[in-house]
Amino acid sequence: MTQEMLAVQEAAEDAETRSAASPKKHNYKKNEVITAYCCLLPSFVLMMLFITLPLILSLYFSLFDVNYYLGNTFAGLENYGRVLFGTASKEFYRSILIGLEYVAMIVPVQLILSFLVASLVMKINKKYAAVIKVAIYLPCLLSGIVVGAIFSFLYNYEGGLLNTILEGVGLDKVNWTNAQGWAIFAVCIAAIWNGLGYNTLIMLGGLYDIPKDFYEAAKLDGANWWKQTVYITVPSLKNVGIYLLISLVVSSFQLYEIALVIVGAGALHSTEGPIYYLYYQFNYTKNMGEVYAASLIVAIVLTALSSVIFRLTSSEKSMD
Amino acid sequence: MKKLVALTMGGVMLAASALFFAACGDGEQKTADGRTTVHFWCQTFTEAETLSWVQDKVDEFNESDVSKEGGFAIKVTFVSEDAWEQTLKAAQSTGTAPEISTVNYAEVALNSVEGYYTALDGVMSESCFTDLLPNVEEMTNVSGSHYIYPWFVEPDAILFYRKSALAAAGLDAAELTSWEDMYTFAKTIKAETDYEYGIAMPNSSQLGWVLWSFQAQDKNSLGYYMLDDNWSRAEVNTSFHRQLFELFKKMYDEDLTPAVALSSYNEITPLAEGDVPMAIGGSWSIGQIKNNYPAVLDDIGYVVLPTVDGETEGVTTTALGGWGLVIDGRAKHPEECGAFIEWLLGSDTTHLEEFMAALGYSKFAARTSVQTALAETPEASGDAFYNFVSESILPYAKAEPAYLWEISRKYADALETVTQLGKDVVSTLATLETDLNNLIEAEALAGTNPFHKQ
Repeated sequence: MTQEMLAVQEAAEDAETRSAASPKKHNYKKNEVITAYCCLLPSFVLMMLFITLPLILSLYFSLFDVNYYLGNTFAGLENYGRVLFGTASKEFYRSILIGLEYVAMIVPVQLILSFLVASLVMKINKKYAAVIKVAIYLPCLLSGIVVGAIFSFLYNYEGGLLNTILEGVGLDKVNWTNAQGWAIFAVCIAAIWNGLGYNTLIMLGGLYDIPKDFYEAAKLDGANWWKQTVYITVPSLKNVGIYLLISLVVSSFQLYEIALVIVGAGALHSTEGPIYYLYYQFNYTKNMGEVYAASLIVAIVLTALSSVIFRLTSSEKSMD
Repeated sequence: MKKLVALTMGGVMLAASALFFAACGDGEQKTADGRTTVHFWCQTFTEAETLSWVQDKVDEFNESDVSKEGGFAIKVTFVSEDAWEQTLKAAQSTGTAPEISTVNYAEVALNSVEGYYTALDGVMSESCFTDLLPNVEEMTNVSGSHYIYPWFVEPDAILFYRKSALAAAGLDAAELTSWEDMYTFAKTIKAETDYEYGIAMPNSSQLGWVLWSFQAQDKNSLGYYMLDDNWSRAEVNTSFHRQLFELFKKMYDEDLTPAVALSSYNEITPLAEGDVPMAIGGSWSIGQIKNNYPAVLDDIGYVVLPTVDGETEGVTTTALGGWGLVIDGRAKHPEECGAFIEWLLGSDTTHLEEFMAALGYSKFAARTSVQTALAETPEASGDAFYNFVSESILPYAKAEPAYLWEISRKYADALETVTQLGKDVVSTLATLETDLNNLIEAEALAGTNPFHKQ
């Protein structure tokens, strides 16, 4: 290492020490401060109205036996007890397990597929890459209800595309959406199709961010594609990977509309995740306090899941 | 920059004010001529004719003296069946529920106990209630007060069939009376004709309430469907329920019925389009065939829903459902609501006569005077289906159960574990009985039956 480089390193370390000891004070003008707050205000108001306030109200109402007409009666933690240990607790735990099944089935496939497709897009001719990007992104523009409707046509027992093909080659029809084993796969495939484009584009953004110099240096050292992927690409994608992991876990756990349209109440509730459970309880339970309690427990489960992922991936280091 | 700041602040304050006033507004609306608007939510039904009848009648009412002299007008909003529950509940939670809404009889008892509805007795003439058919009056009367005014009643389950299919298989519909007959007919038709299936059995999402008709046939039940009259005990591990489960199991195991429902239970499409030779459907099915598939009407036959022992005359073969109107428990204009309901459903019989005719006499009157008036019209009195239901089904039909939906849902789930997972019938019913009794205990249902007179 040359003298010059040592000097630069020392200067950098020195600056870091100073900045850690006394954080730099910014002297913003009053106008700039007002503008900043004004820009933040709409988001803040919306966040208060649609996230914070409902959360506080849910917490409040979860402590009552809620009756919109006769008035609410304070119930303490009874509603939480009913959800966790009452007669309907079996359904609640089943829905949580189904949510975790969705996570286990969708997240790894989405991460691997989006990585592979993004890598493919990076390698091929720009003209074809654009076509692929558009093609895989289009399903993201569809709502879960529409995706469910499209896949219903595929899975339909009578006249559905898949069963028509099976019958065409002399095989028996399959009950894709009603038999317990198949229904959850049917829903997961539709969900993966729906989300692949978005995840691929995020992954692609991460790949574009990796300096080409790394690969060139690796090539000079004789690293093959596999080694480049393992030692350069994957570590460099850690931030993007954590973002995708968290968002995929949350969205998969909450999967609801696609299952509602494709399977509905069939298949012995085998596709009814936590949000479906809340939807059902909202419609049919007289005491809404129980629904508020259940929704908060689901939120706690989701927060816990995210925390575990952050912990396991040491994300505080990689995010720096 | 200042301009930008001012504009942003202004926009935010405007939005916040709009939200504030929207939340605080009492929802009082007036028509152009100053009349108070009373909101009426009507659930969309399968038959488009229902909606057009409602809209026409509301328009007619708003032009009537009752509306003008009363200083109010009705605004009807049609809400999709799929979104009904959550839309209504969201409105109830914010105090913006419509003052009048449609509801089916099964929901009325428990909801009225919870204060959801205003009693109609004080806002409608007494003659409206004395005119009700006795068995319908019982369905509307909760602890001495009427909370729903009937629009129509309709048997939940009748067995429809293609005459040509039975003829091709050499079968006689007169012999189709027991569950075993239903199975044998389905099997024979599948074997002897080109039909892929023998019958469309009810399936999945609507199974919970469609099974009420089968359950209603149980002569040895504890008293109130699967529960006793006091709602303190459930009993389902009996010979009757075992036979019912076995019937469904055989139908599925032998592919006599589609593994996945070909349509919603509310629609008779698979039978009308020739996909199945027999199908169980509500009385409304005949209206759909008359209005949407007139070409096949002559080929459609019907018998009462077969029973476990084949006895079908003078006995209950189906549950009796239907719809009526209720006034919200927090309605600001209950008198006006009562006046509208009385005008629409409780006075002039021609309103309901028109309705029954538009629906092809597939729905049935809940008032004696309307029934009498219909009997005097050649169209109704000459309608074979109308006469068949009026004579053979309606007098014996049993009101749908009013207990918690969870009970019906658990029963349907148990049946599906048998048909889809191949679980053993006896052990499934034993588990179900335990589950139901646990539910009764946990929800403290004993003594809560609003219809049970001690």
